Amino acid sequence: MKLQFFAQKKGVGATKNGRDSNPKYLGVKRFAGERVTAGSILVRQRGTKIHPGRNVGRGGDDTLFALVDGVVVFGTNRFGKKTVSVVPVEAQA
Amino acid sequence: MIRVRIRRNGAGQITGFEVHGHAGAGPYGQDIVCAGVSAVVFTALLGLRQVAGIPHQVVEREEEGYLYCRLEGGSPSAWERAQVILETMLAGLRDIEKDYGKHIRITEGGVEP
Repeated sequence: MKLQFFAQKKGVGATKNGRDSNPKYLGVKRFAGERVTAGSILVRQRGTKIHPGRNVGRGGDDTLFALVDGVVVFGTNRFGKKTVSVVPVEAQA
Repeated sequence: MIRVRIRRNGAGQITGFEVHGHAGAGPYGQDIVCAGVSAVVFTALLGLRQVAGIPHQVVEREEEGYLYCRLEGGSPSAWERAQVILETMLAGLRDIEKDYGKHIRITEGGVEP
């Protein structure tokens, strides 16, 4: 006779959740108007939420970084996508 | 909490019952309320088959602690024996409920068509 038919089954209570990956700290690292040097990381992202504009390179993990010294400028391209560019300092004066 | 639902017909006779849940009165293998309820309920099922000899449907899902039983016809004498068995089962469950009300709750309702 199944005398424990209505008992909490062994281990059933254990939750199958409780796992998470480490934080990746994504997001915009340099904001509009900030002065940056060549090589500075501007945006950490997954996929191109923000597209590279002038003087901005794109890394293998879609990280955007400055190619020249200058000031950060955000805009949109002709497709309406958000972009980030770096305007060289002398050009800006 | 084990929930027991007794179903009766218009004449007040028990036509079936449903038992669902986990007693939660102890770890698996030492849950005395579960053992008591299981013994009473499964003895009643044995009685329906071996003593009353009445046709009945049983659905068991041990993982969920779910058991459903419904009488399906049978001769008047078999039906009468079945009523004695099921009323006795109910008396036993009610007595367990008196002392372990935190772990078992009996309700009656839901007249069968």
